[in-house]
Amino acid sequence: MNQNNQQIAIDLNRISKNYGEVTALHNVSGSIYDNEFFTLLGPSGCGKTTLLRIIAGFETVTAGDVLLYGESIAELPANKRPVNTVFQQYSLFPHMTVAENVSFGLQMQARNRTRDRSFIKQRTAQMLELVQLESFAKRKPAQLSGGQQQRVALARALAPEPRVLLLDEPLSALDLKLRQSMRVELKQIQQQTGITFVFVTHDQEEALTMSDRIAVMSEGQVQQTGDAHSIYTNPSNLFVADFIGETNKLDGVLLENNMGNGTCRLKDGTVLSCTARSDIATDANGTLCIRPERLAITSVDDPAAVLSGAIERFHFLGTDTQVVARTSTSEELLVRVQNTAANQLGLQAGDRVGLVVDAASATFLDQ
Amino acid sequence: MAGLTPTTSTGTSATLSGSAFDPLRKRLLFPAWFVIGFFLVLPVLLMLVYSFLTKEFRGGVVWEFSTASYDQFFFDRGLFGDEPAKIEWTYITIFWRSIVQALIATVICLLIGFPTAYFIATRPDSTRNLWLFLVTVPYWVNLLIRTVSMKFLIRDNGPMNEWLMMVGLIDSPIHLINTNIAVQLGLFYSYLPFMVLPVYASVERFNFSLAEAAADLYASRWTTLRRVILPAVKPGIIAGCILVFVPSLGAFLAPDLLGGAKNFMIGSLIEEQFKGSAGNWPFGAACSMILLSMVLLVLMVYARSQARAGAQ
Amino acid sequence: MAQASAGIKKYPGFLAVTLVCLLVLYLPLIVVMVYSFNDSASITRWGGFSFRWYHEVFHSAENAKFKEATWNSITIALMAAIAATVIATAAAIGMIRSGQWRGKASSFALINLPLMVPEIVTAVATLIFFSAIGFTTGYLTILIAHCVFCIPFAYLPIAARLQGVETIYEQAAMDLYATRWQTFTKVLLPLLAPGIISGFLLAFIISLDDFIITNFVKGAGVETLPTAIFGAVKQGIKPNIMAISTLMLMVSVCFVTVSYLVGRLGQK
Repeated sequence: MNQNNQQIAIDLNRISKNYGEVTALHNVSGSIYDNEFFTLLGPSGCGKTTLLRIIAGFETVTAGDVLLYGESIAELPANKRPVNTVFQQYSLFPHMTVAENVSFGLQMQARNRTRDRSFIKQRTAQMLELVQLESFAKRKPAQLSGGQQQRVALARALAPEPRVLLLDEPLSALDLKLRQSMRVELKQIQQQTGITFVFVTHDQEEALTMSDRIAVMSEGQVQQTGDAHSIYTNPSNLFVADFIGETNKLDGVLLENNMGNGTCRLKDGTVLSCTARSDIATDANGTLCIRPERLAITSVDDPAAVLSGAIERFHFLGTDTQVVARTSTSEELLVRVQNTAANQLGLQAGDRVGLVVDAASATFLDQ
Repeated sequence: MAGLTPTTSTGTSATLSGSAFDPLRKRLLFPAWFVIGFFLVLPVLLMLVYSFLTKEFRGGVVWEFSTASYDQFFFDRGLFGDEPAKIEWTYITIFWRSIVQALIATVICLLIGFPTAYFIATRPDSTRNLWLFLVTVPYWVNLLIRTVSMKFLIRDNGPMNEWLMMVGLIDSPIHLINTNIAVQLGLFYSYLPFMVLPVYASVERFNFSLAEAAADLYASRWTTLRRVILPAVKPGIIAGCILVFVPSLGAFLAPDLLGGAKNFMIGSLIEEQFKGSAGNWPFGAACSMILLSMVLLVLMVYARSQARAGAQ
Repeated sequence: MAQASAGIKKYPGFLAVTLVCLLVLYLPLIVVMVYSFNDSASITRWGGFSFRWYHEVFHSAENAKFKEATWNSITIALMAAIAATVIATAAAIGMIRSGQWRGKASSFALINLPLMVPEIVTAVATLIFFSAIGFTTGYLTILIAHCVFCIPFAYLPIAARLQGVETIYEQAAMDLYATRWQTFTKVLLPLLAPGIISGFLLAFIISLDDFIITNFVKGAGVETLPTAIFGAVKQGIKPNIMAISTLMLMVSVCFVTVSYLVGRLGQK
């Protein structure tokens, strides 16, 4: 995706937010592009919801500015921003029917007062069709299932044609199966409507499957922004490497660094090739990160083996088996082996094995 | 939907900002502050001032500072005020009797109200509200009418005595009216729901798996009640006791209609000071101040204990 | 399991106490209700069923004072309850939707002060106040006094309801372009309605119920139903009092039923 040609929908400009002594957001900057499915991903308390609420207008910034298509909206109250929110708990008005809920925003919009009543009716019907709830128009929210309520909330937020749709962990209250199907549906609706989605979640699987780009947040700061693939394969720091997926972390020193290709030495003296950000200096202490599925088990005397260890135990996980091994310096190594017919391991706990990893899959991080 | 608890990932819901909590909304409190401040706080302060004024004989006051009201309450200086001061027991006795009556009423309400509240709180969902409804309906009926009804029922020649004699249980009417028992009955009748409702609320919140745990650990039924349930519902019981005690202390209708002249309580004493020209406004104001101080003392002790319980 | 826990919850004798409790609560009311239909002028001997006392209440000249007192009671209760409900609704939003601030606890105490001060003390203080500022006691003083002590009664159910309404609904409305006023009228008010109705009904009944404060501030000439009944009862309980009591009782029961139904509606 060539982002440089794209229009910027939301520009976050050095945003900080303090609650008294507590810093919720610290100097957050970044751009969200037009027509993008953008995800804010992070653990509880990382500031992602605060950031979303700042964009929505429910929180004020302590410092910084929010631009919506080039115009500052930091001073605008929530009801003057062409941005709508799908809330975590749906928050459908319990005293209104589904149709009344969906048409609420349309009726409140000042520009619709001059419009024909039939426009609102038609738009409401169109929205209900979009979320496949045409036949539920006359029901009250309490008569719907969780998934249906979530779809009404989506229709309600989309009806006034917001320039940006904000989604605050909208799937977290649903059960697993429903959550999975809603992911697909949400993504489809985003593509159909062409509206910019800003999606908040703590669920990395959700983020990885749906997003065009992800901003990983921690402790009030954005740690890394990028598409799912680059974040997973090229984490820019230890937090991202650790938070997204599983990773093996081995302490080491970077011996050389040639524009990102380097070698490092581990605690036990093993020297191996790896990748590293080009700005990491030689002799820097850091951590070598290797994804479990990038390690391959081989015999201990295989010349290709760069690491070695003793197998401690196996965890059968269905499609995969997770092998836990321990290095001579007592560091734990996780190895993922696919349970294909060819991969009958024939190994036992206590066996010493060699491990193969290529340089591109071993990432050296200095923090 | 009700079962889902919101998990705000940043915990922002408690902090003020945006449209959810706006400090400017404080302005909406101004009418309430004004009305209560101007028509209740100010009058109470004025009452305090009046209690230090000199009485006028046709009711009302003369604007002249005097501690005569409080002096009259506590000390007897003889008919002409020239004898050495002795403790004046008349009013202290009335206050003391009121306190005792209010305490007894509180205990009776607790003894009857607790089992009732407990029974209702442990009904299945389908009938619980109906039981609660039955207990609270009389509270909605005018207090005066309730007290008059009670008076009508228990009079010497009232229906209760008639029936009991007709059935042959008694030979002569039970004399209840104008006794302490009648006052108790009236107070009980007036304030029972104040006991039942808070106790009910705390029993309903009680997690009965704790009682099961106690039973599992060999506690008998009554031991479970004493050692597990009662400590857990204590806040409700204390709230109920205060809600019964405070209005009982200043009650007027029950002692006046059911107790007669012999069972004078604070309420009647105060009322008398403002009736017609025989009254003594400063003295009535002083009695009211003493009653108010007692009540505020009870409430403050309660608030203090609540704050301490909350801090733990 | 359910069986076992039901057994553990049960205490012998509690049902009996509850029934005794209900008997004490209802017996006097039922007796008065029954005797109000007694044809005999002697109020304790049963002389057959009749509506004669009701007829007398509505038609005899002697009972005209009750009619006027009823009118006063109802108009005062209505106006005091409306005023108290409006003030209490504003106060509830002011308390519960304003975040944390210094003096909030004191504000709560002030709103509930009329509940804490004994009625007789409020009565004395109010009488002294009106007399000190030279206000003639009468209809207006009763109305003002009632409005004051009705505020906390209206406030408590409204505040309780508002506490149960999550702020997210107001935020959702604001997010969907509603102004503050629209958010209030279209979202908050309908959601608060059960609390407001309960608060209004409670305030109305409390005003109708009041005797002590009214008795102090009514002055000469103006009577409400309780003060008129009290005056009449001092002369002895006559059958017409029982008829009036029964009518008032019916009104109360209607009110509590409405309030109960509204409460159940609110839970849904």
